[in-house]
Amino acid sequence: MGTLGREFVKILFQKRTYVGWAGLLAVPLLMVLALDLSGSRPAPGDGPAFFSRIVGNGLFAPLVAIGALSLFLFPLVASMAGAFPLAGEAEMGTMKTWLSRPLGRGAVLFSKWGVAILYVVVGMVLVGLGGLAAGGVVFGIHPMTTISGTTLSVPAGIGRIVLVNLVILAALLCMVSLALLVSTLTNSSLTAAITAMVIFIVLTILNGFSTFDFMKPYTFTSYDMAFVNLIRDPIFWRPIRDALLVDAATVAGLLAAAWLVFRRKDILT
Amino acid sequence: MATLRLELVKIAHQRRTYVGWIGLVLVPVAVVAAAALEKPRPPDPGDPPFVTHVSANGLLVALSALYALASFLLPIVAAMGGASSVASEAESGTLKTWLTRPVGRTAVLLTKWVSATLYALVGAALVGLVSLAAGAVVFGLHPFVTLSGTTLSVPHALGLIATAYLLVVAGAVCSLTVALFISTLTDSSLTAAMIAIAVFTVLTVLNVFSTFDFMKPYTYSTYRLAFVDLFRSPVYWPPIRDALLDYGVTVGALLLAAWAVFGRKDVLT
Repeated sequence: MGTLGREFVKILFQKRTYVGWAGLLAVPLLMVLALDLSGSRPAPGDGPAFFSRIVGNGLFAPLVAIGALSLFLFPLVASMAGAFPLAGEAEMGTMKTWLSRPLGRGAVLFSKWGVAILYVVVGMVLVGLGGLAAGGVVFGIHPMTTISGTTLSVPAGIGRIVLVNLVILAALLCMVSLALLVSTLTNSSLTAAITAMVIFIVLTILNGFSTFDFMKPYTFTSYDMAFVNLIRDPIFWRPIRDALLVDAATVAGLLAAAWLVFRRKDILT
Repeated sequence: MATLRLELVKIAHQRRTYVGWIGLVLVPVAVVAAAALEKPRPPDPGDPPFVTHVSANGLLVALSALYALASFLLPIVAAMGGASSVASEAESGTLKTWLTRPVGRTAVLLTKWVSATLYALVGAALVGLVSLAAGAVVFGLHPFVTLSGTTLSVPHALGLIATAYLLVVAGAVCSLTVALFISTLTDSSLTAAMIAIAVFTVLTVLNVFSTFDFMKPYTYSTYRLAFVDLFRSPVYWPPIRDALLDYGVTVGALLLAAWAVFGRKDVLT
């Protein structure tokens, strides 16, 4: 844990950290502001999932924000978070110093992975709290109406939103691990982050063609809307279970690959 | 010109250069494979123009690829090119060496900008050539039916497609210049690239909300699909002229800002 703590201190001293968090936090705030200023209720089906419901119930603001962010900006932030801890050390020439400490390479790798996840989780908490606060102030917090038509109490609704965040976090772990794997292969954090993003986009585009449906059950990108099923009553677990299974297998595979590469890597800087 | 050649050699020796290009080229390949294998389906009114009938005409492959290129991939690859230019020299500690050569800082900055632009241009050209080649082999090139219903000869359509690609590259140059500007402010190429991508994404999202319509004429993200108007007969120029004007102002202002920062920057590495 001491290692993870030290890693976290490192990212707190980087400007980029706050740029990422501020950018994420801006989205729920701008969204609520836009809805408040426009004064008209968007047509159902307009904008991201559940968008039109925010006007009646601020409780939907954090849900819409995380849903919309999970399509592009959060994967981007996750790839940045996963790419930098390892390749950044190589860039600054501090990797050797790091490895001279009495720690196994496995521990170094996993603390880098852990800190990237911590970064993403803090971002999610900011988006959730920011959305809840802005939505609550402007539109008020009311019991949540599910897709199935039933009504959930406010605490139960918040519980569902937390679950949504956890499901999306599982998919983001895939992005973090992917960026981490690439960053063991290169010494440039930029290369690692962009490679992870390009893979993400290409997978998303392939998911759009029915010819490539055969690979859909196996790519983590195809479950990007699975979280919607958590807003049913009762929760429709099957797609969520599938998503979590694929995410877990992807993360395990990528991490194992990263460990195999990093364990034997020549550290030159 | 000698400085420019040096920059291009540098780009050619980086692995991420090829990652970016390969990621771009995968798109037309996927489009062709999907269109060749997919059973024809009834057109969906939500589809962008030209994308439904790709298998009827190889020329349409180039246009379908352009949609994916304009909305995500090219801005990302261009941002990478722009960000790596100044900041990655700072990262690898070679910026000082660069500046000891008898070249002014302005020349250094402009060379970086030009070489990054060339990088994006080559990427787009690769996509165009691969999609035309694959489209010609699989579906054949046939006279092109415009959005207005008229038919254009193959060479005429090729000219318009080339113009459309240039227009999209011009849009990506805005992202590139944002990245270049940020990379003069930070010493981390990753930060610069991520901020440029985040700016593009947030602007794209804001363009969707009608509350932010007032800024639409001024943001470069608004015009990313302006190329569609080239395929009317006669060509509908006003949106394209607006796009070029907007790009020109954006790029000019950002370059000026980058120059103002870089001209006085303390170069520590």
